[in-house]
Amino acid sequence: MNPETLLSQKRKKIINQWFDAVIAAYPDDSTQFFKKTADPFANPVGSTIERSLNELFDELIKSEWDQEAVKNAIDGIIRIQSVQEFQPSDAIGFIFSIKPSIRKRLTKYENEKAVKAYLDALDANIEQLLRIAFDLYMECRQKVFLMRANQSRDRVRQLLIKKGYIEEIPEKGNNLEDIIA
Amino acid sequence: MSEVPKPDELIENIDHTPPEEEWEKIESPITEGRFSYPAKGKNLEVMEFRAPGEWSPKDEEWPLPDNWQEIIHEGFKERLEKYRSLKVFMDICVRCGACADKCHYFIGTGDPKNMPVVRAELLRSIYRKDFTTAGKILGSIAGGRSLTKDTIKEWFSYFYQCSECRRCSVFCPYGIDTAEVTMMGRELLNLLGLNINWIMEPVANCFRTGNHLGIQPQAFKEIVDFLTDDIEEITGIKINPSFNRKGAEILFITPSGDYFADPGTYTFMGYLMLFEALGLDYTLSTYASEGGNFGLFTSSDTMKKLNSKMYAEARRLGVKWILGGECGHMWRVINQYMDTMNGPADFMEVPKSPITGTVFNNAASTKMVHITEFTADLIRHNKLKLDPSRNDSYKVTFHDSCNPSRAMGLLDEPRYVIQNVCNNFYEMPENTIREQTFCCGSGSGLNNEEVMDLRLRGGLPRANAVKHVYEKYGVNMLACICAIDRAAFPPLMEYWVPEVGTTGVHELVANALVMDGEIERTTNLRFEPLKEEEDESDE
Repeated sequence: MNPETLLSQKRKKIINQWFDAVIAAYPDDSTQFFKKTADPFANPVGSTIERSLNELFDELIKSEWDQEAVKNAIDGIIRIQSVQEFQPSDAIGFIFSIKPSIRKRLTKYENEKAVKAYLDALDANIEQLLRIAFDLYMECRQKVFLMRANQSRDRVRQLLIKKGYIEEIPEKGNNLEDIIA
Repeated sequence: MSEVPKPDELIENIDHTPPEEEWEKIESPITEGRFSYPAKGKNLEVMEFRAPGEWSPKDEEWPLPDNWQEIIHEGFKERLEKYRSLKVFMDICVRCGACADKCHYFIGTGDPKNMPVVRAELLRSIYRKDFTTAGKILGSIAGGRSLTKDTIKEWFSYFYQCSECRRCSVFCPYGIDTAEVTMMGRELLNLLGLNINWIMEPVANCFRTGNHLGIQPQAFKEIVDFLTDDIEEITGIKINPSFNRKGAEILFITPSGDYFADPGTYTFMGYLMLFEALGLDYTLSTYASEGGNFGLFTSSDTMKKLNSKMYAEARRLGVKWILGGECGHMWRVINQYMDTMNGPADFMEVPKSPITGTVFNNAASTKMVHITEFTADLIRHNKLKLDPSRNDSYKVTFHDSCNPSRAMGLLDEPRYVIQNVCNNFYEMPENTIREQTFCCGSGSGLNNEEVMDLRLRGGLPRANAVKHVYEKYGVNMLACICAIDRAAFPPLMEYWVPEVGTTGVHELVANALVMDGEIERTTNLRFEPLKEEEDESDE
């Protein structure tokens, strides 16, 4: 029994269950909207989550990951949930939500050595995904706070420069002679 | 150690099940990042509003006056009698749900109270209980709710999570303008002194000094002088615009965002260059140094006061008509409210382009023309020498700013202008532009840093469409005709699509504009080289 093949065969169902678990974190009225509105421009949250989970699933069940693809897939969801008032642990929690669905498919084979080894490896992989998700979450939050700080700083800074109260080193002055001149 | 739960047990204990209560019973936490900071007393007092003292929306007890219920009831009653529209909007909604999933804040948050229908229900439920017979007798069975202190908190939270963009109104079969419901909700809150500082400070500054930031007349002139120095460096042409000049044909008014912050300043330079190339007889005003009208987000009286300044100045200077810059809510006020508030402006003439002779009959009463209408007309009559290749480093898409598109139907003029000054233009998907455009997420006074999170999730639908044209066509510039957009998009893009910049339409016009007597241009208005520099170090 090749676990990767088996999971691939159940791909659609597993991803659907994963998607349901992820959007269950939203209020009831909006889960239907996130789930049923197919137009990606009318429903960017639902469609991004769906696309990201599909990409992530394909990488997760493989033994070798495309690191960039994994990061992009996680980024899609994290970038949204990190500005949606989720607790940090909830924002990265969607990674956990795939475990029950995968285990369910493999339970009856779990005494097979290969399957057991595969599940252990999968657990390790999920832990790795969590690390990536946490880093991305922090990156997003830092970006938000940086932008808040910048907006605060920039509101009057340009005016001070234009009024001549501040004189900064000009951009073109890469050479000392230019600056002195 | 055996006490530590296993991961599977932990997962099983995470409860993702949404509450089963009706929306009315779902509590809405007031958390940092969701609310704008309250208005400072000094800004309320200068406008003669109640100033409740220092407080925070996070406080358990809000500083309401003892007779707050009476104030709200009387204020509601007065507005129902005064505005037929409010009465109709309160009565005719059948909760069909057509608007429910059209709000960018709902789409970006999933919070049911951000559905326009539910946002309006916050007010409507109180209306039913207090002003309808069925509601008075049947209460909650007839959809009525009692007015409590929590209702006030909920109003404050959700009426300041609406940017009054009116996208929901496009889809309402009854034509209910939910933005007007929000406006009334904010008016009622304002009676209690519950406003936000990002609105009241611009209002107070505009009222007292002339513009949102409180830039003084001499500083305004110095800033413009500085911008003309930049223009001279780029084009070799020195422009000397006049200020407060009596007898000028045209008064030009634009939002202050166009002269105090990038990238708005490039748009402002664009206006000056265009007028210079035309030899236009115009003047700027240090008294009417603001087009934006934050009174729209405060109360109709405040809106009227701020709007009247522009017309008082036009009268004082004796101009024939007013040309207005790239602004958002200035145009909603002009097109939908000015005429009944301060109009008709009979002391001026129906605007007529001195260059083409075109008469702008659409502005026959307000006497105020949008600059993209003016410029589109110039291009149509072949009055401008243009070299669109100077914008070749840009692949441009156009964001229909909510107010000019939905409040005045200005859809084709900006596109016509862009397509004549740029070689690379790409539209975003159909359901995200023109009348169906998605808000920047920061309109109606929500462009403050404390609600950056709210702005980013509210701006997601717009950013998502920009991302699409970035990925599909390599779009790297988002053009718009609103100063709020020009302030809101840089952070929005930085978060969602960092490869895309923000520009005003007249920055693009001025880049392409060939002016008589200009030197050979080597840079655009941002001092970026027009042609990619050949890297000599490789040789």
